[in-house]
Amino acid sequence: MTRGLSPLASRTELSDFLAEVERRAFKQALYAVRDEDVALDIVQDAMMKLAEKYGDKPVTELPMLFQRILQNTIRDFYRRQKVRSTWTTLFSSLTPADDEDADPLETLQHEEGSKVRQTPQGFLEQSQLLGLIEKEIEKLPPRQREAFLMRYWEEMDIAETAAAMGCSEGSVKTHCSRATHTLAAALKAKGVTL
Amino acid sequence: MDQETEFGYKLRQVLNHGTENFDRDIAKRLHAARQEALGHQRVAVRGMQLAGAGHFFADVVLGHSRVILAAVALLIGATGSYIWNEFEQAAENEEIDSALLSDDLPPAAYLDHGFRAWLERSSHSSQ
Repeated sequence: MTRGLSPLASRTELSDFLAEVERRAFKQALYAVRDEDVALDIVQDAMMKLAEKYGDKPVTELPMLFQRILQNTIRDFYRRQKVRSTWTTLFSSLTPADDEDADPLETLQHEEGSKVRQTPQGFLEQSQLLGLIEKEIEKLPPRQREAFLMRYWEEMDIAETAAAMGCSEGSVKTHCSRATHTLAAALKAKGVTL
Repeated sequence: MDQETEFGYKLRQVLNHGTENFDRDIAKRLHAARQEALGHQRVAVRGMQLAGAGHFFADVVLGHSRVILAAVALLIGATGSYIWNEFEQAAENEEIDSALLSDDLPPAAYLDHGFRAWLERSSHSSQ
């Protein structure tokens, strides 16, 4: 039943894995393509490819494989869109330049209580904050967004992220650092502290 | 934990909040997509019992089919030969029995020692 050291994914394990990542995957696709139907198609496509081609792989390899498929599927969408019309690609490239000199991290407040608030007011604030952050994530350059979401949202380590993105670990660190600085600066400009 | 990582994990908390309050229709469609994908899951062949039995049949039984066929043929031949010999033996016994019963001399005469001795003597003298 084993190949190498890791057990192969059973149907239940694959189901659990997909159930655990599908919402985040949808959001990732949505940040990239900004269309719910297209994002759903991308996630469905990625799930199908994972199950068909890598459904017999060890469970531990699934996160990296799924992210690689998801990002490739998003890139395929970009390519198709580029062929259809050139101006839409200009839209995706209209992202703010990285500000290397600013050090917005110094202004961040270290609040432990920044979790979900239970009151209606807190819920509203949290939703507004989420909306702001999601808009800023959408604006990130694709590679920075990929690296940032894989590292911090999917909790993949640098090596896994590099393998999923098909780049060096150094590039992952650079993308993550730039994404973090950009997001921090954007939130600071809107008066948001975490 | 450095500031960058700390900031990243704070954002993560907010983003996770977004997945907790998910649009019901989208959640439903994601569930359907997942079920469809699971229906196409690639499965390791040796992980299935039936597939394993199929492999056993193909590899072991069909792989040695000539030997198995020869053994079966030998068994059928030996059994046939045994049955044929039994029939032949029965036919010979039947002929002897019918010859004895159709003769004028009663079969009990052949069991008499004096009569057997006379028979042997007369057969020697006739030669």
